Amino acid sequence: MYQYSEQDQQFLQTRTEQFRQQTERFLQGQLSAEEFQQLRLRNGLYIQRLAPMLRVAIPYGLVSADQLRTLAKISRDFDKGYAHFTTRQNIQFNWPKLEAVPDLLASLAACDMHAIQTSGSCIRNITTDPLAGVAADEQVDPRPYAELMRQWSTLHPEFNWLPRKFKIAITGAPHDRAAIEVHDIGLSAFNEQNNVFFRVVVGGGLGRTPMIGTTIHERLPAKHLLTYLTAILRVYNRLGRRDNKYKARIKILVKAMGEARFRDAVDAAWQPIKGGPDTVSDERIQDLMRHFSQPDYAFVNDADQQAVISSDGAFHLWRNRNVLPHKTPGYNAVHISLKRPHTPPGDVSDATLEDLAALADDYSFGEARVTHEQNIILADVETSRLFELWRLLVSADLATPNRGLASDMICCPGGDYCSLANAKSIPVAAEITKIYEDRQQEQRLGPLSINISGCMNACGHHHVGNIGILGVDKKGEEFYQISIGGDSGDTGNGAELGKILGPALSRQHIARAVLNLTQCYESARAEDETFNQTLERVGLAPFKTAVYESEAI
Amino acid sequence: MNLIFIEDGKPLAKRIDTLWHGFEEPLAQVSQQPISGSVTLQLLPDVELEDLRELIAQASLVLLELPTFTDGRVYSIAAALRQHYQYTGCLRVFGDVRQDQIDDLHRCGIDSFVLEDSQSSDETLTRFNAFGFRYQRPFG
Repeated sequence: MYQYSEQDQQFLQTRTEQFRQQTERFLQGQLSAEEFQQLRLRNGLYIQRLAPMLRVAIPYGLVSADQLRTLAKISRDFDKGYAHFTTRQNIQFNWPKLEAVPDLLASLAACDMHAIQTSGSCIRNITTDPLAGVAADEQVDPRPYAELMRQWSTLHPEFNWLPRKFKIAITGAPHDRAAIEVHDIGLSAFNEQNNVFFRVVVGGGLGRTPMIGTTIHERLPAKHLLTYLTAILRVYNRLGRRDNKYKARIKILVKAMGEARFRDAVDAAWQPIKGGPDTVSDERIQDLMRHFSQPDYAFVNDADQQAVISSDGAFHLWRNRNVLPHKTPGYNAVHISLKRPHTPPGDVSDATLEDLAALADDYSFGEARVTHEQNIILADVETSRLFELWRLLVSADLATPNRGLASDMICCPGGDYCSLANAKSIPVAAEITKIYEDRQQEQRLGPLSINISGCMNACGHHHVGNIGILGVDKKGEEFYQISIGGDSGDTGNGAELGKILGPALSRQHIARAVLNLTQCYESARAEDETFNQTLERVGLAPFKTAVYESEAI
Repeated sequence: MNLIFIEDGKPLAKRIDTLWHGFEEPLAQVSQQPISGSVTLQLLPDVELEDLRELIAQASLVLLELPTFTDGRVYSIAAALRQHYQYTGCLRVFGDVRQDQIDDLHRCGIDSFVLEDSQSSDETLTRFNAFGFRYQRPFG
């Protein structure tokens, strides 16, 4: 965990008091509704369909056991005893009362958490690889850079009123587990002769106009990170469209200017500040790194540890699926699926949060990570303790062996909660979960991402799912458009947007259509082809036939 | 109108009736040749600063309009004037200026604020430096 300094803590307290006063002024009629809306959004507070919703940042996905307990307590004290993990390493509470939000923020601040800039037209929570610092394929640990950007972007005076929201993601591994190419800025860190560089990608994004980002710098030395980001943001803040919110994201500006002109404009804004006071020294990064607690790994022989592991079949199924390799011999990253039958994807009860906190304390140095697929990772578990951890996970209903499989769906809250949604998404996820209840079927299919969004804002990342499902409204009725062939980039081959399969389907047909698609894939695939590889070889036609010409539809 | 200005690092307030209060020169039109002595410039939010380099160098008052309080262009114009163009004169913002924004505007290099009466209260001056610590260094 990043250890907050006294300054960080005082800063959060001041921010909380500032919002308390703003809320009081609003309730006393001294602050207009339109102004208070902007101020509350920058403190994570939305007014939703049924009640306010507060989105809390989990910076770059790192959360301590104590913080998980605080979140559990908040869900009891201010909410209805549950919370929802989002696709941007945030967590949401759905029923807080407006007057109580300053107290809620104070509870968060007391454990070094906040909701700053989790909404509004400003720089949002910085996200990264949930395996940062432990991934076997990692070249650069992105955490100190993510923290550097968290500090730089927090209440940045110049960038609090951008044309639209702004999302930055960073990875330091060739397998991009942070989907950087579909962010406003994506950073891919790499190491050359002990020097860190970034490939800088700009103008990716999902939503109404999905786009894969454009690389505008192939090899940015790490010391220039903040000045280069400032230059990009300054160009966007000056030139981004403000007349139409659907054309206000930086991707539209990059497209309108063209890659070359945009790069030149950034360069012109960069030259006067390049090498200036915001230049990042090696010492700064080392200092940030020192603020991260380092797990006290035991020197263990992995081969010895393997010997004490059980031969239980269910355990092996789970282990093969949910346990990931680790940089350090004898340790593993354990993936805890929050995609379980009868629970909306990403939802957790207060009891589950307490369970996760206890497991993080006992098995993973008191720390957990949140993934953009809405799951949890315990990143530092000893091999010899996997079996005992698995048994505890089974009893807490947290051992679903479905990491990356069909039932491990990404899903937004949809029409059940969100006022933007055109259609519900949680019931669709539930129906799809049902068809894969027979675990063998999804194991046989292998890795497959199914992503569901309740509207074109694409919080469920439907464009980058192998199978993407988008809720649309047809004359007041809920319909769903299917796209296939998307990829968020974690295969290591770059991100890919899915192609629309055909006319939207009604709710009663959608689960069946997904089943037909996966059956089509299973019968057409050669050897161990992935869904997208098969699609590329055989084309869209057989999948279309499977969905639109089957008897059931 | 109320003018908030910074003197010796402290915010002070007074009532004014022209935007260029305290400066004798009227607004210079961009099309005019710069006159000798000081120039007052009013910049629109979509201004191309590079075209005005010479005028900026001669200006002692630059007026920036905030068309609506959610329009963030002024912040980047101010920061660019201070950082790229080394402008050291008075940088005054007017328009839809809200008291909850003056601290950020100040941190971007603006040192003079014209506020409507509805945005002015006894507490307005306390909006500056509300935070003892900031993550960024100021541009001013």
